[in-house]
Amino acid sequence: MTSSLAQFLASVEKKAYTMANIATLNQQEALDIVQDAMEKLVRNYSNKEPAQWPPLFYRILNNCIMDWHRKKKFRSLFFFWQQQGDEQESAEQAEFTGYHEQTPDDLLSKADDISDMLAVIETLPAKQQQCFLLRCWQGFSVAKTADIMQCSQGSVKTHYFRAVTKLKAQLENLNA
Amino acid sequence: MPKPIESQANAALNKRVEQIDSNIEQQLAVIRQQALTQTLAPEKPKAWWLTGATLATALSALLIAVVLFPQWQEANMQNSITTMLAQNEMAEDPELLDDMEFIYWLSQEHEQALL
Repeated sequence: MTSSLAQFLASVEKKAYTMANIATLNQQEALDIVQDAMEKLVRNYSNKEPAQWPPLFYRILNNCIMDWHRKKKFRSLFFFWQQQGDEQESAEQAEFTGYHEQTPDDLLSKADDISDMLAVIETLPAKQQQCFLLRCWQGFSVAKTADIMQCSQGSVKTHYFRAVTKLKAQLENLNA
Repeated sequence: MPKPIESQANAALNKRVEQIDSNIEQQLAVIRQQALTQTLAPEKPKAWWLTGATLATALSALLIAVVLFPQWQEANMQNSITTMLAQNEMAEDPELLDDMEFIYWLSQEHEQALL
């Protein structure tokens, strides 16, 4: 059981990290989210059938990402006086690492198709982004995606439609 | 003819997965190993009597004993006093004393008759 669980985790870790990284735009935060999701899966669901692991793992991952967004929102609401310091710190860090938080204007100036696509995905709202990644990239059905995101199938269809519409519109703008 | 948006997105995302640098790959491997070893490690048996619930139950029982014991003791004392008073009342009852004198006289008479 342990070896099959290890194989499963090895097979999903890069995609999970990419999803978390797209959501957080921060490598360390993404790694923390993946670690949290893996530990929760192993602790609570290692006795389940291997076929049940993918939806369970992505459900945990989705919850961890949404928790991260909630915490970020909470921090920005109640610790607004620290934002200035954080911005300064992140600017210093960006200068050091060469990474700058991407704004839509920055994204529009990118030339590479793949970078454009990823950059546009990164600007999607959290739920639309998760829905798009789960449906389109992970290949989950509407029902499975609804189960993973703990919402109705109608909501999944709406999030997905909005995400695709936004992607198309922004990519058309880039190509125009 | 342009590719549909979904396949473009898939291609871009798969490319990004391929481009994950080796440092992140190593960190992911460490994370995976930690998750498997730490969480699947057998838990040390806990001392059952140290658990919070047991401790709370024990404290509740002690509290009940402390509250109820004086009441029980008082009730017991009152019961014994009632018994004693009842015995006293019986002893001081004049009719009963008359009866006892009569029984004593009767027994004396019976002894004299035998002599």
